[in-house]
Amino acid sequence: MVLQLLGINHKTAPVQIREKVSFSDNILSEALLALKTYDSIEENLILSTCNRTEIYAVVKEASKGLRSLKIFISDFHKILQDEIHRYFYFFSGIEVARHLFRVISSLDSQILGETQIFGQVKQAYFKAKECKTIGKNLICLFEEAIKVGKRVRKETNIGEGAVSISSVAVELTKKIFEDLKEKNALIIGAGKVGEITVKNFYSRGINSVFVANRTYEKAETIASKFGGKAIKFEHIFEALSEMDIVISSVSSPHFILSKDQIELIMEKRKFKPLFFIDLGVPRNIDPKINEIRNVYLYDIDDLNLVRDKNIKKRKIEAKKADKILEECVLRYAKKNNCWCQGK
Amino acid sequence: MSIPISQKYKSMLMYNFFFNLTSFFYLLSFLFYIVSFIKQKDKIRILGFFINLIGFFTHSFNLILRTIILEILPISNLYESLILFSWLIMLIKILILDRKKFQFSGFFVFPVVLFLIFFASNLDSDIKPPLPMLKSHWLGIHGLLCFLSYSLFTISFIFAILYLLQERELKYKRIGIFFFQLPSLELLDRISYKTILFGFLFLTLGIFSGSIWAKEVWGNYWRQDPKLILSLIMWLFYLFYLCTRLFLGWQAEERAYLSLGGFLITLFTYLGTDYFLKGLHSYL
Repeated sequence: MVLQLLGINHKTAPVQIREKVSFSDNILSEALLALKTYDSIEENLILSTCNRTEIYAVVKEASKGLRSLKIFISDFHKILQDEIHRYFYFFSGIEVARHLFRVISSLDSQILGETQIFGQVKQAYFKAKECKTIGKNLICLFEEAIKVGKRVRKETNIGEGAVSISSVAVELTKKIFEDLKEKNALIIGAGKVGEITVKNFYSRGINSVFVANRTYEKAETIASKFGGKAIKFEHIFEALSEMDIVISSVSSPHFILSKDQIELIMEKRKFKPLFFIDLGVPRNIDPKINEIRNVYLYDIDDLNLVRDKNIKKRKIEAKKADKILEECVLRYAKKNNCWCQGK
Repeated sequence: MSIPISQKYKSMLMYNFFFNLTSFFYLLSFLFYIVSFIKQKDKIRILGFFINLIGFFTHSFNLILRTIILEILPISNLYESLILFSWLIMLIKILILDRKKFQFSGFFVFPVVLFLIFFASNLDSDIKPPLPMLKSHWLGIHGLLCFLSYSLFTISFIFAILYLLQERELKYKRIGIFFFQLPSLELLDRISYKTILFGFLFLTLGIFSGSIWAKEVWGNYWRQDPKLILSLIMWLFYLFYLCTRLFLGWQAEERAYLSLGGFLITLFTYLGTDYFLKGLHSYL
């Protein structure tokens, strides 16, 4: 008996291939049961997310098993064997365990340290259990993997530090203000990025959200989602004295806020700190306002800078995680050496 | 009850041993904190914290031992006051500043404490009976209150510096070690303010207790003495600081500079009367 894995992910294949071979929730049971009937397949499990599709199997005979896995994919998704050869990777024996441990710890993810994958692996495992396509070998492997995933999260900071633009904006805000509960945010522009950022602030318990947009109705729609208030675009200037955080993402050929304006506002608010996040390209806010006392302005490049630093830190954590993984793989190999020798 | 001389001598040896032990543990703990600060590793920091606790324990033991031998709070000379001063700063660090939300700020107390201890180690540590005039419970109350206020002002000073550093990093987008290891500007300012608020309270009580004591021994509440005048200046300065926040609406940055100024006055009040303006309060 041999443990095998045939898979595809964001590193080996472009999205147009990945989408062809993914298994959506509604066909997953059918696929699991279908694969079970193939030659030499003893146990099988399918993990399918937007970035990867992986089939884990315990097969009676190595060469027959691999052939079955390939035929299954080409049968089920109607793709050529040629494409499978080009885009899929194949592991067997202990390498399968090593790969799974990496996946569940999100070391193999596109965004290092993201948390979703842990739940996705668990879901795939439960689904296979439900369909009774896995036996004691894969159960043992996946139970171990879940433990490994938990341990890596606990012992490293791989998930720490914001790595998306909107969460970086929140992280920066938390370096200036302690309590978001007492702060007001104004969002200028009802675009997608702006909305995600507001959502992030909202979930961190910001006191209130104001939305300004050239089309007032759109501002109202977004404001209502976050229990906020819509204001007219012309009234931005008056509203500023009540705000602590201003996020702007409009497409405008010229600056919508100038240094003189902000100087006036700051005097009015006795130089109480005001944090601007300019997500617009071209920039919406005159960069010179950063010179004003207690005004902090971050544009999209500044946010990217913070994000890159956080990614770098995650990479260092990933090295720590690798060490933990090696230890787990060794232990796992020792415990199950009778059947996961591979090849 | 007084301890026989021979026994006193033995305690002295033990005393110096514990002083060295305290310095050693603080220094070791400081090194652990530095490594953890640069490498950003929490485990090393926790280890540093435990070593710090051991150091604080020997430090406390030191203070208690000396108090038992002298039968009053050991504060009658510069050496003793430095030990108490550094102990109070450490106490505040361990009780308050090591909480998670303050992130790494507690670490910055070390340079000050180590400096005080280093300073003390160069002074005469012999236990001498204090002047009979000082043998009063008022000495303990008055001294403790005043040094509590000095300690709080010192911590305010440290947080003011941290505020200014973090402010520069955020303003000029130098996303470095401070960015990741220090709490928000608002929190740094809040701590700097609150330590002054409480420090001012203790200073007020300290001055009051001193004048009651003065009435008992000198017959009047006030005497022309450099330390008294400096304390009054210090008291007025911190009163002004509090007003800028409560009534004048000054912002954090200006307050941070005020806190730096206040610390200089505190230092001068503490040491100036020994080195420049001799008076009734001189230690040396």
